[in-house]
Amino acid sequence: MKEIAIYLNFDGNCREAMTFYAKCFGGELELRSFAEMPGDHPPELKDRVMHARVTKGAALLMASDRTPGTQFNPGNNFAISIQCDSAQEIESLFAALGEGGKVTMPLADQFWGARFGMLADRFGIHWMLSFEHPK
Amino acid sequence: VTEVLPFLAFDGNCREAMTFYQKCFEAELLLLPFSEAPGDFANSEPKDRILHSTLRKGSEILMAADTWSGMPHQPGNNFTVMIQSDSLEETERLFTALGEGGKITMPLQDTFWDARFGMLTDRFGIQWSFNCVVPKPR
Repeated sequence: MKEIAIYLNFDGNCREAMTFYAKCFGGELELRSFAEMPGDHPPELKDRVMHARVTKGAALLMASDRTPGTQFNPGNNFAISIQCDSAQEIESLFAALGEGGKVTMPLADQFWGARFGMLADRFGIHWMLSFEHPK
Repeated sequence: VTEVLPFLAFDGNCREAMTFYQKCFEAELLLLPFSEAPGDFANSEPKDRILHSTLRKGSEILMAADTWSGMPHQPGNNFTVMIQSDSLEETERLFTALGEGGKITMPLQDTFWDARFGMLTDRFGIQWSFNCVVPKPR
């Protein structure tokens, strides 16, 4: 197995969300809408995103929009867990992702030796950020 | 950022799910029930619920926990855990293992992006996708 990655699904705002994430991570965004794919697509599909990825070093996040006619059922049964490089990075990334969202657990030093916090971003996606203090 | 991992939330069956995934991935499972947690955590939730769990295969590949009291558990279909592999054999094995008792939403097939790809929803309602690109011989 090369990698386990997270693939998010949005209901028409994939472009907005992935543009936001690319900015938060300072990463590179690649994005293809259905209109850019071969074949005929109904008008309601054209602006939707068929596949998008944000990459920043080892970090990878992928996403698409659902296709019309399929059910969209956003859940809270998952989060994206991020290991940060530095104390500075966890502060800035937590602040960036949380903009317009809701902090569910403020960043704090935890009993297991890490700085840790949780938030739900403006798109309803849950994030857990962690930085292990050097021993 | 050094690592991005999926963290799954269950409603009391985290142990069962992670034990199932452990078998599927042939990985090492670490489970921390509330009963074994330090300090205030230990008495904050029913003891058999899981505060934190990790699957390791070389490095960490998946994390999960049970939800806490007062946190509604709402399973969604707005995310997929994607397994990238360069081995057809491994992809087929994992697809079969994770699909046991679940539902195949797209059988493994060849795609226009030159991958073998398939999707399923497992018995715990988690969606998985499988993307296998076999390196071309030079």
